[in-house]
Amino acid sequence: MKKMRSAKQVRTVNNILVHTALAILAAVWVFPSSCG
Amino acid sequence: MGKLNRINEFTTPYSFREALRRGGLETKLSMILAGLGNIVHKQVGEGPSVSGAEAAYVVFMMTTGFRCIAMLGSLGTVGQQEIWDEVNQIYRYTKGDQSVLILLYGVAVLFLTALMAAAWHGAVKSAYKAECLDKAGKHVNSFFEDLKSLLHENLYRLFMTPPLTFIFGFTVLPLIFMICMAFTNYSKIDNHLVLFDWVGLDNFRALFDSGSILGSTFWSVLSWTLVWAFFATFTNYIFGMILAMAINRKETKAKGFWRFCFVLSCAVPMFVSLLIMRTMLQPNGAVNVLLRNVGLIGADASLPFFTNPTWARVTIIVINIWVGVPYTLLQLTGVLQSIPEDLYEAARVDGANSFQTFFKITLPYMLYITTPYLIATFTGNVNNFNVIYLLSSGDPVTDLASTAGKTDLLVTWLYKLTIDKQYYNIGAVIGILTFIILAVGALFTYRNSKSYKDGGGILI
Repeated sequence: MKKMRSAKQVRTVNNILVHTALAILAAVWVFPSSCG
Repeated sequence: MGKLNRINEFTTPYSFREALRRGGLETKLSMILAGLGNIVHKQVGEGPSVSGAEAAYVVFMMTTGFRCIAMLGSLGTVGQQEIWDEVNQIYRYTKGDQSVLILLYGVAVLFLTALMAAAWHGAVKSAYKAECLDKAGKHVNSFFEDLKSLLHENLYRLFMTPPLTFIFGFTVLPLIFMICMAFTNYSKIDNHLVLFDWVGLDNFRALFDSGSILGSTFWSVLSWTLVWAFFATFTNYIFGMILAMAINRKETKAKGFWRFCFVLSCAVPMFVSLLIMRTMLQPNGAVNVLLRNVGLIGADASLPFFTNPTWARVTIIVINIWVGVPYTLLQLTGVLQSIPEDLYEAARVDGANSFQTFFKITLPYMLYITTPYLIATFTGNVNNFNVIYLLSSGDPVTDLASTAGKTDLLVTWLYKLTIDKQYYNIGAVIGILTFIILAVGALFTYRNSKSYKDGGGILI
């Protein structure tokens, strides 16, 4: 039987993904700036 | 479509045409001796000032002006000569003609003449006005009253004069000078740096001839310029939009912190960031050394960031994303926050999912607002000298006979042609062509955009 995810679970997964992506991108943006 | 008639909202009975038709003898004589009509009609301040200005212009033209215009035809013929001075046992140099100065002075005198023609036109109208008022028994303004009017009904003239003077002196005059240069042979080729001639459309023909090295370089640089401008504009826009939306989500925590991280790169001057990037991506730069140490590339290998044409082009576009996205992020954050929330609520009630909401509400709204910004960014990228010159200097050069590298834009090539090679005429032609391409492209796109049609273009 296919297990359905609750809306809250989906939101949590989305949040983790978005925040992780933002953290990685922020590091990419900050690193060369800090070299300057 | 019917013919559009321009309606003058500020009609005046004291026009130049009326002065010609109905003006008295003194007004008509003002066309020869400017200010005469004003003097006759009690304007003892304005009349002599206008006459004085005309006299100064005539004296200037007699002593210098006509000679400058006459020399425009040949642009000078006498070259500098070396003469042996037997007495002092040294070489003396005679003063020859300098075509650049002849061209500059000639254009400036023509400009001054156009200015005087406008002043003369105004003076005739002023004389006619004085005549009409005097004949009707009305008050004729004295010189001081005219000066005083500059702070009241003629305030716009007072405020517009300084910017117009600077625009004409420092923008229009050099522009005309540059356009004239495109029709000469002013270049190092055949030693035409001091004395040069008019050559008509020869420079344009040389540049458009795809069989020659210059022509093939031009087409190659032009196509890369357009490709670069397209990718530089849209990668920044799309990436900035995704980032702005990710940060602007309701569920995203610490929005201010994320914005700070991305906008931090704006705090460092762009040329410093670009030079750091250039250093980091050299064959022995930080990135290659790091990859070697990690073992992703061989001990002697390096990634050809700026030595392979395709790599160089991709690298530049990617670095431009790093440089430009913070600015786009700020722009689009403002736009996103201005989208009415009730549109989203209505979409949710109608059962729209997030993709539908994005493509039906967010994207059209953003495009509507930012079309003028996109056009401005595109034209800015066509002329993006900084990123290209500081990152790759137009390199790599694969064809030694060519004057441009594989990442050169029209503007960086123009710089190389004028500063390094001293081909001023070809540089001027490229400048004109860039202007035409940009002006036509920007106007056409903007006039066909929804922002323009609905009168909603607010950014330019």
